[in-house]
Amino acid sequence: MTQTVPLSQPSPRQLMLRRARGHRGLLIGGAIVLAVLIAALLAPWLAPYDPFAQDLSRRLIPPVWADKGSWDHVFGTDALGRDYLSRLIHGARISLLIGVCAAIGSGLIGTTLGLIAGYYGGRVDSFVTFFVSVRLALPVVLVALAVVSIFGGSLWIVVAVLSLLLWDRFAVVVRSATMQLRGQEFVTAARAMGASTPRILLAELLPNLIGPLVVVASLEVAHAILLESALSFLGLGVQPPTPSWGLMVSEGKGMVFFDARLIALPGAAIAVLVLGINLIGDGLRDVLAPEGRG
Amino acid sequence: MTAPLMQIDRVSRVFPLGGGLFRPPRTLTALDGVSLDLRRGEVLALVGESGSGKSTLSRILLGLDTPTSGEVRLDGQPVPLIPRRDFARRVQPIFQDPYSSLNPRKTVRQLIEMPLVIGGGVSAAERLARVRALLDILRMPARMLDAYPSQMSGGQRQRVAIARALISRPEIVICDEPTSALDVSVQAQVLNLLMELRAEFDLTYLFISHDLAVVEYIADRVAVMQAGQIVELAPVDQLFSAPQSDYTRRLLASALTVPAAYQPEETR
Repeated sequence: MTQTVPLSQPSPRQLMLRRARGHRGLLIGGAIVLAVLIAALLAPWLAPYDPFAQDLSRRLIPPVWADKGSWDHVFGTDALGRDYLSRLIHGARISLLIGVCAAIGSGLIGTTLGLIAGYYGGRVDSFVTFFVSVRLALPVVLVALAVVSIFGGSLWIVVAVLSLLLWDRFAVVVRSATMQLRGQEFVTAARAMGASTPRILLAELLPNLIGPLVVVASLEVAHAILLESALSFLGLGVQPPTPSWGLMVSEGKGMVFFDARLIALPGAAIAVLVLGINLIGDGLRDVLAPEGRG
Repeated sequence: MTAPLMQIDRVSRVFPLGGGLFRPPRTLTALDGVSLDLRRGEVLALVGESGSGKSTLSRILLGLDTPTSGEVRLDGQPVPLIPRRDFARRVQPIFQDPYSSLNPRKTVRQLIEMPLVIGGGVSAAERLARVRALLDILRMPARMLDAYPSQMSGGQRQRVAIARALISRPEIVICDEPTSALDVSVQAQVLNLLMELRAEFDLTYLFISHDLAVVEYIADRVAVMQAGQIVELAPVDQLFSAPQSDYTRRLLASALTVPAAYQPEETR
C-alpha cells in the first residue's frame, strides 16, 4: 500500500509550524537571537580587529557618530585601545555559551528531580519540594559571590554555579506536569506491558514534557545571561581580559560621565539579547501549549 | 475439563485509608475472597456497579497491584514467580479510554510495537512486519503507521490499542470496558472485531463491563460482582434467563431503561 492520500487532519507538527509562522513576537525574538548567534559563531571572521590587541596610543577613540569618530573603529576603542565592536562581537560568544550551558546543566538537574518527584509522589515528592524551597531561599548572587571568592572566577565556574542555582523552575514545572501525566492510562498501559520505571520516565513521560521544558529552558538562558553579566560586573564572573558584556560595563563605569557609550553599548547588547530570548520563550509557550490535547 | 488458564484463588485486596493523628487508620476492602477460574478460550464477563471491585481485580490480574491475601496462578504457576516481562507478554490489557491509553507523542507504529520493544529480542524489521500484518487484519490502512493519536477517531484509536495488545501474541487479554468510551455504532464494530480476533489468535478474554447488552452479546460466562465479592457465576444464557441472586436480578432490572423493544423477551 503506497497511497499518498493526505490524512484527514494535519499532524501535530504541522499545526505547530502553522501557529509559529503567525506569531509576531516569536519571529522578532527569533531574528534577534539568530543575529546574535551568527555573530557569536562567526566572531573571528566578523570582528574587524583582535579583541585582545591593546594599543595605548589609540585609546578612547570615539565612535563613528561622534565628532572625531572614524570608520576605522565603528564603535570606537576602550581605555586600553581595544576595538569596541570586536569586543562586543566576541562578547556574544561568552554570553550565549554561559547562557546555554547553564540552562542545560540546570535543566538536567531540575528535570531529573521534577520527574522523580512527580512520578513517585509521597515522601520522595516532599523531599524534592523541600529541596526546592531550600534552593529558593538561597540568594543567587550572594551564593555565587561566596563560591567564586573561594574557587576563583572563571567561565566554567560561573557555568557550574549557575547550573546549581537555576534548576528550581525546571523542577517545579516538570513535577506538576508529570503529576498530571502519571494518572493517564498510557502510563498504566506501559506498566502493564512490563516497562521499567526508567523507560516510563524517559520514553513515555519525557516526550510529553518537551513543550514546557523548551519554554522554561529559553527563559532560563536569558536568566543565566543576565546573572553572568551581573557577576562579571561585580568582578566575580568571567575575568579580564575576556570580552564579556558584563565585564565591559564594569570596565566602562569609571568613564560613565565622559564616555557613556562604553556602558551603553554592552548594556544595550545584554538588554536586546535577553529581550529576544524572552520573546522566543513567550512565543514558544503560545505555540506549544495547546498541543497533544484531545 | 482442562485446567483453567488463570486461577484466581481467594484473592483479597484491602486498601489502607490513612487515619488522622488521633483517628485510628481505617481500611477499605475492595476485594473480599474472590475466587474465579478463567478457562482457556472462553470469554468471561465481569459485571457489577461502580466500586464493586472490578477494576481492582483487573489491576491485580495485569500485575499492576498485588493482592493482600490469596493468589493468582497463570497456567498453574503463581504470578509472583513468573518473570515480569514474560507475564506481560502473555497477559495484555485493553483500556477503557483510547484517548488517554495512547501516548499522544508517539506514532501508531511506535505505539503498536511497544510490547515487542519492551520484551526485546525482535528485530526492527520483524517488528515492522508484524505491525503491518496486524493493521491489515484490523482493516486499517498502512498509511496510518506514521499518524499520531490526535489525528485518529475514537474507533481507530481503540483499534490501535487492540493491535498493541495483540502484537506480543498473548494468551489472555483483559478488556476493561473497551467500548464504553465509544459511539454506539463504533462499539459494535469493535466488539465484532474482538470476536473475530479471538478465533484467529486463540485468545481468552476477561471482559469487564457494566453494559449488560454488550455482555450478553460477547460472553460465554458471566461473573457478577458486588462489594468485592462474586455473588453469581453462570453461563450467559442461564444468568439472563434465570438469575439466582437478588443483586443480579436488580442489576438486570436496572438495565431496562433501554426501550423495551430492544430488550430480549426473557428479561422484560
